[in-house]
Amino acid sequence: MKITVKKYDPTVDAAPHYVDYDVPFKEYMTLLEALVYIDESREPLAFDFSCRGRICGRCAMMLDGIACTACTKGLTDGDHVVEPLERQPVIRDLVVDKTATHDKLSALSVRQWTKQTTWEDIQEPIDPHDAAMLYAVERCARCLVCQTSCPVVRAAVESAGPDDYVGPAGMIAIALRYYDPYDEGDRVLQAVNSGLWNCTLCGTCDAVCPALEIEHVSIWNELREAATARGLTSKVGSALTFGEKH
Amino acid sequence: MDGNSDTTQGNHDKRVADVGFAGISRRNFLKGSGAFLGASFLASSAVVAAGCASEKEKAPASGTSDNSSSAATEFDTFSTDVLVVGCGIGGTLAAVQAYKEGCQVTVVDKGPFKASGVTGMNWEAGVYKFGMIEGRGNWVDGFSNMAVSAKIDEWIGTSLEPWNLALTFVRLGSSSLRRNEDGSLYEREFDVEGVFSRHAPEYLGTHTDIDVLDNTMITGLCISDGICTGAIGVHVPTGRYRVIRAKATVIADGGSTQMFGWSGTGAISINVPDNTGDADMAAFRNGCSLIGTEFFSSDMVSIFPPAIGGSFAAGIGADAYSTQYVMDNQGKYFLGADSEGHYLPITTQVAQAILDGRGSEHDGVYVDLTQPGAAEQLRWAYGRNIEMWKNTFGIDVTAPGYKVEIGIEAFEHMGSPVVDENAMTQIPGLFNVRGLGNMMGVSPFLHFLPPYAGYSAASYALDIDDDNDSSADWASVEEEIMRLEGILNAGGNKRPHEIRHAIQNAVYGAFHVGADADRLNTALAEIQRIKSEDMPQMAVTNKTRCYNTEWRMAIENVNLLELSEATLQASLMREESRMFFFRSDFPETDDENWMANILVNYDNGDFEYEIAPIAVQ
Repeated sequence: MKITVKKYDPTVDAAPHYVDYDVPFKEYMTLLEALVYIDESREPLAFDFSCRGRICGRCAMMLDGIACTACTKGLTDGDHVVEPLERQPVIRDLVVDKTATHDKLSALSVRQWTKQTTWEDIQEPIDPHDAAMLYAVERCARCLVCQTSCPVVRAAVESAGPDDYVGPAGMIAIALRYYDPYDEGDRVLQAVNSGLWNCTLCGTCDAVCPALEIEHVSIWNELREAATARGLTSKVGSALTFGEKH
Repeated sequence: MDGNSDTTQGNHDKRVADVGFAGISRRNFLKGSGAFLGASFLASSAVVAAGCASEKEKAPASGTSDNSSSAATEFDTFSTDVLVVGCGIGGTLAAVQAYKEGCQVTVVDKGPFKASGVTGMNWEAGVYKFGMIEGRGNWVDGFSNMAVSAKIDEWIGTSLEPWNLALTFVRLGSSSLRRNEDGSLYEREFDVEGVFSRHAPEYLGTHTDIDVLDNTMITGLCISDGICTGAIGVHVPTGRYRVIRAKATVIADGGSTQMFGWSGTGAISINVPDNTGDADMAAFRNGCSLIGTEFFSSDMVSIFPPAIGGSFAAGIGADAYSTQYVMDNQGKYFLGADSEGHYLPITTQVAQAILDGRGSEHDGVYVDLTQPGAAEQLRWAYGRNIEMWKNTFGIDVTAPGYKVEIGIEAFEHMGSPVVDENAMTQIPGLFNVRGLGNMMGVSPFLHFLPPYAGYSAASYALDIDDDNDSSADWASVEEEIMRLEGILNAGGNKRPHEIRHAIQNAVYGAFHVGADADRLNTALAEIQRIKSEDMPQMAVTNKTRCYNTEWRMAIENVNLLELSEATLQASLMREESRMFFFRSDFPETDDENWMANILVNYDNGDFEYEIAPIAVQ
């Protein structure tokens, strides 16, 4: 196989550049395996990984233009192009820095409560539907494959417009607390203000997400139903604008 | 000096105190002309002894060249009350406790914050709920370091809540825990499931103003007059050295199992590559005795396909909760019905089956998931991978005839600096969230030592008056920087991964079907060979400083090699079997001779072993 990798060492390279590597194919090979092969048998290559099973998110990158987690991406026998995850700052080669995005996601999902959770609270049965949704949503590894693939997020970035949609990873972070029985925050309002109605329901997030349990579009529709029931059918509260009369 | 606030590197800390130059004291800092030419002269040796002049005598170099090996070896310095090395479960609990005690706390994380270590992978953990069990004392009594357990018990008090780890994790952000279909809590006798561990560092990041220095690998300790005054490491994205001065330091770098084989992408271990025991081994080299080096904790997980061999996250395992469908090569379900206790040594039975010739092609056994109901009884974390294997590999493990090949993996390792009843190591000012010496591969009690260590470290730090910097001894900083520069600049014909795999193959050969004297001696001979022949030839081919994974692996190799040697030697000494520790040549437990810990001491490159009997309770 010819694996073409976008390489960049800012201490010595003027710009990123592509390098071809000849990698022998074998059955059940993953992209991560191919990268290890290149690093060990061809030349040093910088990439990050940890869990080897799509739950830490660190190996997220682009394969043939599509975001994936390298550790669980099966390779077909053929030529491939590997690049760092788009729109994240590149540290070196395939290593990016997700700090800013991760911190935003953490801020979105801080639990709101007035009363400290007790063991008795936990032993209380919870709504089976919420339990089933949490089983899925807690799996989000914050790999940002969805975020990178979302056409709404991409359009907002490319048009340099206001940040109207927190993206699927952001909406999942909000959904976590929406279903969380120990959270008292108004997550429906938060979802609406975070761009719930800007999503086009295209389902790309669902298609690329390595956590197969998460049914993104179903979640977006549940949140929309809840928002509609409260009359929150569009984004409430205007973003700061200049020169507009109200 | 404003210091480094380079946000493109994404680090969380914006409070760099100063930039220093190795070889020049901060007092004698001469801006623009500081250099440390000593590094290139000593570059050929991987481990460099501090034979340099003291900081006061060191004259500034007359100039700097562009050659990276003789460029000024700058370092960034930070100051804090309590430094916690590692932001896993241990590190997070210790840091939050120290913070609650009123200390300024700095946490150093080797990987990216909130995605680092076992905590940073979003796995749903089984967690003990001690407080809900009648007579919780049985867990304390089963634990050999009575002095520590008694003090922890006293500190926590009689309240049951702190003993309920599941409650703690929910308060840290985990949502509902695993539920039955009707929404009721899924409970076993001792534990519950469904804690998602990444909420813990996230809680630290959002609810405290604890400083986090991530992507920073701690490699050495600051020692001044025999007291630990902080730690030294490398910021991996930039290759810049970082010195964190602290009144108290807590080691929480996790147990290292990275020497346990190699699958093609990782060790045959569900643990993570960053856990190479770096801070533990720095403490060892500074005089701390390691305890428990012979104790791995073992489990079984799929070893095929190799791309995910040994991975918990992607794997399909058969731990103590789902032994029913474990099968030998004759098709016999030889482990019987589910065993309730999570930490029973089923791996011993599996190892024995393999030794008896009933194992699989790669020295494992099988799990048969083709029977009705078999897939459903798997724990969540494994069951969810059935669908993933179809997508990624085109493998349907439930299809008639398929056998999941599983092998013995090491998920934890106990070797760590021994602690006293204050969770302090033999170096004053250096605390540890492990090092209990309980002669097991794992202990649920480990969960209570971290907050206690944080409390102890805070108490110690609060007792120190502020003006302690005037006699700062930078010799240990200089020595460590020279050592790491030497590793970066060394010439040789062995790339770090070659040495890494040699270590891994040796240790795996010793333990993966239980140990015996022959296997252990063979492995020890190979470790000695690696030490004398390969390590002096270890060289990184790429010498730039930006995210240099080869350099990182080379630094880790020093630690893994030492830890492996200690592990093998201590295992050879212990002529018995106990819990996860299985000697096929000594299969019985021998309390008469082996109710004891083995301590490993470092003496200028040589290891000394001492047997420390414990009182039977």
